[in-house]
Amino acid sequence: MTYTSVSFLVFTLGCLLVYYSTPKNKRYLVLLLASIGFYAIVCLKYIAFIFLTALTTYAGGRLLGNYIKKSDSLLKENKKTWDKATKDAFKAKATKHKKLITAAVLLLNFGILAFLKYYNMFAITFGAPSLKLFLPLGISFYTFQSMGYMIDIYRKKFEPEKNPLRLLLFVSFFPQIVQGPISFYSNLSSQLYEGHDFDFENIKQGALLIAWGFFKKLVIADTLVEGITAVANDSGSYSGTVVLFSAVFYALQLYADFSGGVDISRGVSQMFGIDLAENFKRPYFSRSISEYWRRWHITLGAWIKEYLFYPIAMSKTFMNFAKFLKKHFGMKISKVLPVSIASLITFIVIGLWHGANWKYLAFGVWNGGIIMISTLLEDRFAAVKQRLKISDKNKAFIAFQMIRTFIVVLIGYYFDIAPDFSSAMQMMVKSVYDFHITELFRYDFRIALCINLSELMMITAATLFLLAVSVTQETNEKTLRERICKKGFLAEIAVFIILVFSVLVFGHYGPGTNPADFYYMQF
Amino acid sequence: MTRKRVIKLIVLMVIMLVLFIFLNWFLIRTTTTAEMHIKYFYNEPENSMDVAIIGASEMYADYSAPLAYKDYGYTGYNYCIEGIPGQLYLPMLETYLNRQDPELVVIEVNGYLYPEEYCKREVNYRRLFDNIPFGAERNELISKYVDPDEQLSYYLPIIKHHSNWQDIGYQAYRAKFLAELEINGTSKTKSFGTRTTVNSKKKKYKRPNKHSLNDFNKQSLDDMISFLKDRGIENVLFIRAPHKHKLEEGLSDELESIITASGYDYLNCEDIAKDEIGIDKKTDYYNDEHLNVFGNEKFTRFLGGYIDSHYSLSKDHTEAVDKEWQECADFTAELFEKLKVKTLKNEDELYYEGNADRV
Repeated sequence: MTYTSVSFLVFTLGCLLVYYSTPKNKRYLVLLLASIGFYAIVCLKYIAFIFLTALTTYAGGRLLGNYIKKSDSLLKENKKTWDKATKDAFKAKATKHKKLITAAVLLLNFGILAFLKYYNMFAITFGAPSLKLFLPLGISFYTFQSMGYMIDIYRKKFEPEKNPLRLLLFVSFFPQIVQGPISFYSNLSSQLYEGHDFDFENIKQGALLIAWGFFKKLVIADTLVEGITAVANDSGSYSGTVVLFSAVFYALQLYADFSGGVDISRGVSQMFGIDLAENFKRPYFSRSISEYWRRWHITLGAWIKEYLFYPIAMSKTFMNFAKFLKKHFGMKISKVLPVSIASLITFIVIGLWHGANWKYLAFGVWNGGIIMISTLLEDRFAAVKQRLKISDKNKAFIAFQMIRTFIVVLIGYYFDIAPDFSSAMQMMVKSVYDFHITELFRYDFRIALCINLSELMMITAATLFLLAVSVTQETNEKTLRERICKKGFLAEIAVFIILVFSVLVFGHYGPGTNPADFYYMQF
Repeated sequence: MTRKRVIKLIVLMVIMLVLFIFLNWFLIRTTTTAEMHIKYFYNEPENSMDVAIIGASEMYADYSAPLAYKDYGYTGYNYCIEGIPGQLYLPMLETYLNRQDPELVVIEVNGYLYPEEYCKREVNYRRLFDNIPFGAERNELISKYVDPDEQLSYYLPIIKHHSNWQDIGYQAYRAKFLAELEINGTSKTKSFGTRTTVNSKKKKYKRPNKHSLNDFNKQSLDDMISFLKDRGIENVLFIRAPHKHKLEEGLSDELESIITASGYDYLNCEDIAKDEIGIDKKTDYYNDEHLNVFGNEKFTRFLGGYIDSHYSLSKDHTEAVDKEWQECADFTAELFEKLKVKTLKNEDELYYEGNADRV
């Protein structure tokens, strides 16, 4: 039962009916049962993993919460009687104890994720025997989300959840389990546990978002996937033109696939009255690579920033390093270099999160490296712009920045689509030195990308439609759905019908087609 | 939910339903002949047929129901689909019996002689089920005869056929035929298809040329016989239509022994094609498996006579049915004359219900 299946729609409809027919204070239980039911249907074999994560997070959270409460109250009680040294010793001991509990839970859960995801990569590299390992559905997403909860308790952002069922719901909420968005406990929990009133507006807007997600996934992404896979698996047999276009198609396919899936997740959640965090903000309109990463997979970026980047950048080692730089190289370098290095480390982690392959390390180094260089050379760029009298508001310059950023992103995608690092490099070289524009109009070009003329025309139209929608979203505060719904019944049904029937007719699905999983499903 | 919202929802549902029905009509496509033969069958008045004729393309190429009516006065629609394998004869017959109450069932046996792999091909199932009108009968047949994992795309065949938008030009051209079908009501040729030649150069769909009554087919035949017995149908004639090349040694005998052991009749027309039916291999076939209009006329006369003399059909029809069949018989007779001329010119074009009016 994938998000784009009829059975998922029927399942969601059934859950909605039960949810809104249940007393408000019990509605979270409906969501919990639906979530466990969904997981059991899709991935029963590995359901123990998600229960283990929920259980250890719950137990660890409670233990940590109780310890924090106890130590804080002990400190408060003895505030006047203890001298500073005793207080410091007690605080140090308490911190050590808290870290121990948090680290144990983090190590166990990230350990499971790391073992399942990376064991074989290291086994191949170091000649150890490979194992037949499978990734449980959504393991990265629920692990990140749960561990974020654990760290926030450590940071005393909130008290741990006392009801294990509620925590299990937070870990397993079905619309987001497949590929996120990754939510913070502080944003999602109250929405999950609160019994929402039936709101027709939510149903309408949720339905529109789901239809839009289906459109992106089935009409755009899945139509392109066959050609991309064929070229990526045997890039040596294709010309540079085909290789380049397979990368461009990949950029479109990946965005449509991932953002389409998240739109479905957010649409389903909205029907239950739950507002999941946005995961994409027109990333290909970014003017720099760092802006791109603020617009692409936003919730992963936010999680990484909160729980990885800041702890690295603010760590004692980095602080000492900054002091060292300030002393020897001046203020500017001491501010920029440690942040750039922290950023590079973060991107290497993001790269490796994308897959257990050295090519993803290269992907991380490429993105992190570009950001690092951009940060280090920021002043020089500003000086050049000033000298050339280029304003940041100049439309031609904005377009140049967008195209430049897209090219940088595209280069990163080569690491993603190629089977390994050396193939990625070969594909890049081929795309430059073996590119012939006349090939674009040849029949062989379409054959190579497994797309016929009608499909190519359809994809072009769908992409232009996506572009138009993106431009509209980019220039308006309100969401497009809100604006459509404000225009009245005719506009609502017209958009809904166009989307539904576009998916029905132009969608890539049905017997004889090879349905593509969501790209991030196995993360 | 306010009353206004309910009305809005109903309006939305109605618009979507209308669009959905239109898209199904416009996009679902198997083969044009299969589509015509099945859809026209549903336009026939209920309980107007004396004979049920079930089989593959041999029957609608070799035998003309209107000409048989003209000569012998009985009615019988060729409920036949090109290349259809034997296991699907059963749902075809069920479909027939759901609307008609024939006194005789004629079954052409070629469908029982295909390899199992061919029989199980999706395309065969599609030709039948995707052309049956939506409704309880169709759903029942799908749940009975289609693999449960595949059923959804049979209940909602647009799941399979939606990509036909890529052939929009042909779909639009074909829609004209479908519209005509809706306007015409019943078929004037009662399911018919031929090519105007004595040796067609047109390549056939890849169909097995080696026949065998394998276990799968034996089971299908047994299932058919059990069904006929359960339904209390006494008059059943299994026939082997005349093909250019005779069946492999012993195959016809094996068929005959199974069929006659169950108390039903078997007639191998290949053995008598030349001497009794008068079929000339050089002039009466359009390819190895199908007779042209010259052969059709001879075989129809023979089979009609055989049915008329061996089974006492009541031929009891309403005035309207007789009138309509008479018109069809006249039309078909005239059509055959025109087709004969074209055949002599070796035109090698396909003619069927869809273009019979334009000959």
